[in-house]
Amino acid sequence: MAGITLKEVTKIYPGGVRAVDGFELEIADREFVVLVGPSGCGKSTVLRMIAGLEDITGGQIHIGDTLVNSMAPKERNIAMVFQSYALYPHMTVYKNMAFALKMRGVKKAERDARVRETAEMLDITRLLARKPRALSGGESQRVALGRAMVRHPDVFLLDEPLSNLDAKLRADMRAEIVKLHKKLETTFIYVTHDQTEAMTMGDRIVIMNAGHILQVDSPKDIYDYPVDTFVAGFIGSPRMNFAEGVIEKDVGGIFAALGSNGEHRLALEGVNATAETLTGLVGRRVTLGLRPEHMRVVSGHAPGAGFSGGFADIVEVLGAETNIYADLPGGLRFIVREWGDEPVRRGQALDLAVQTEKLHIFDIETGAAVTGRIGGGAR
Amino acid sequence: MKRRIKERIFSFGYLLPSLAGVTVFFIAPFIQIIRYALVDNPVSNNFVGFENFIRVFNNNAFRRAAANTARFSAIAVPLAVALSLLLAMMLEAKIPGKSKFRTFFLSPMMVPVASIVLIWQVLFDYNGALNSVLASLGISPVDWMKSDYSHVIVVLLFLWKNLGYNMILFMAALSNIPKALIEAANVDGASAFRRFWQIKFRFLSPTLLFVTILSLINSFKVFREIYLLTGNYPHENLYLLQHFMNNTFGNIDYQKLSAAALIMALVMAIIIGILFLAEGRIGRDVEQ
Ligand SMILES: Nc1ncnc2c1ncn2[C@@H]1O[C@H](COP(=O)(O)OP(=O)(O)O)[C@@H](O)[C@H]1O
Ligand SMILES: [Mg+2]
Repeated sequence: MAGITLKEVTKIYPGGVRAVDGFELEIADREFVVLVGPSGCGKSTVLRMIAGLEDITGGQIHIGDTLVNSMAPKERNIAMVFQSYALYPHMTVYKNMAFALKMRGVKKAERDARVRETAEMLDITRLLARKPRALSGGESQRVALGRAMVRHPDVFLLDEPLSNLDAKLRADMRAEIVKLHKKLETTFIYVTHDQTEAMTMGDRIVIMNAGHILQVDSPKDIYDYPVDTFVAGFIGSPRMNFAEGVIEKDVGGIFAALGSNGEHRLALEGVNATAETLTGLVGRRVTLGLRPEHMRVVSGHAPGAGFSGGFADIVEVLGAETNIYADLPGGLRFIVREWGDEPVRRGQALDLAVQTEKLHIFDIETGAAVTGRIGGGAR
Repeated sequence: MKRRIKERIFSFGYLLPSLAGVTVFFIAPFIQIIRYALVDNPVSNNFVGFENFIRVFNNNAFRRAAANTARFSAIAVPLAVALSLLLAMMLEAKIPGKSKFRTFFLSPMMVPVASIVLIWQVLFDYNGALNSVLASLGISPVDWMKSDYSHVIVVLLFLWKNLGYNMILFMAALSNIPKALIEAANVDGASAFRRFWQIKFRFLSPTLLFVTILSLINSFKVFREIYLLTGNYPHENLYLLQHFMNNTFGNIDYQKLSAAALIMALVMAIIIGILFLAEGRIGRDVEQ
């Protein structure tokens, strides 16, 4: 049982790659934290520094109250699940699971009890006598989890553990790992590049890019209040629609003008920003963001509450939902997500109604969010 | 059906050149040797059973040569395998000047045997470098190649010549071990010693087998160096099976020669067979 604190953690690989830069994070005991970001952003490096598999160039890592910077992996009481599973090929599943206990000098009877108990929990008892090469991907995955669990570690580190599984199995395992976390009451740090995994599994999500943390928040807050265009675009599928616009003001209030000739007007009533913030934006160009699920296909809408005169360019029927690629006058192209199977036909004329309160506004230069939790503004 | 036959003929055609070579230079002489070993002489061709073998076993020169060869291989081969593995593991770690080190150990491969021998002669001859150094320290000179040290000197020569290549083979094998496995063992709390024996050793086993067999064969071939260093009749410690065969060949005693060669081939086959069995056990389940 232990929380983890990372202070100003930096990693520069030999050769000069600055893989992680000023990483600052506090993880509570028993928390499930997901590190997510595009491939190469430094997620594995962070995890491996916590594990002790990679030297720390700068900063401090504490597990519990212990500074672990110069501790060997085996002294840290962490367990790691690798993307490749890394099962010892010449040992049976039983021996794979018992290995760490044996290395720690746990007595044979105790070892046996713990391996069997864990195997029972993961429903892999019938695999105990097998060698890894006689296991399917899903079974290997369970064994890898089991090998980590038998040790009763303080912290579980999981590096893209599901990315070698097919989609169906991945969804099952996602739920199962979350369940395990509840049962084991241990700290989990989970690395993935898959935003669905991040959203469905984490108590908190840490979004990284190019070695930096961009945002740390609960899945819902990340989704509702992304701090910048990168986070906004990374979380959510299909991804958020972005369009440039100018904030203007007339007798009706403050609105955003979109399209090459400003042919669309969105009234900014109800957006997640204070009146002062909005007033301050008048006359400036901004990036506007709208999630596909926050627009609806309609025919005709209230003035200032949507886009008119478009047509459905592509219609992707996914069964329960449909993605519509709508082309609009002024060179705008939005993806809209509708429930139901084929609410619109390809080529059909359409208008789009917008849930204005879900509109995101970003600084056009820095990409930082202007909208956010009202009160604190963007965090 | 016809196509299959055609394919067969073609593949046999491709095989033919090397098959012919192997037949003419290895299989045919080997059969001839078996025949020689079982007759009294190649002209009268009377079958004599194992008489030639008994003659060889009772021959003092053969016994000495066999004992020397066995002793040389028993010392030189394990050393060549263990030291090259050690070197490879050292070079795997991040040490400065790694590539120069590697070149140093590989350089003997590029030097022809005759030149190697020349270098060693310069070092160990009665009037050589080592003796002049000793002389300057006031120690009386030793005729190294004619002393009991000669055996050690040849082992050193053998190691110097073979370590580099073995090392490269081991380095390739080490870099092929999945890194995650070593890391998993590390996280699981295995010491460096355990990580080596429990994980790396398993993955190295095919290479260990190959390097051991290679070194064994090379240890038999060390005759060339000894011959160039000391001629037909070296110090009695260095009188190896090939000296025996060479000299027997010189005396045109084909029967004795063939019997000795067969004994040697049999011993080699047994040793290599045992090595293969051992590797099959150690390396089971660990193929990539
Ligand atoms: N051993 C290494 N040596 C040099 N650079 C490395 C090494 N491992 C990773 N990197 C670099 O560090 C960056 C972060 O890598 P990594 O942490 O593996 O990213 P992620 O897990 O997010 O995909 C990448 O640019 C990668 O190329
Ligand atoms: Mg990674």
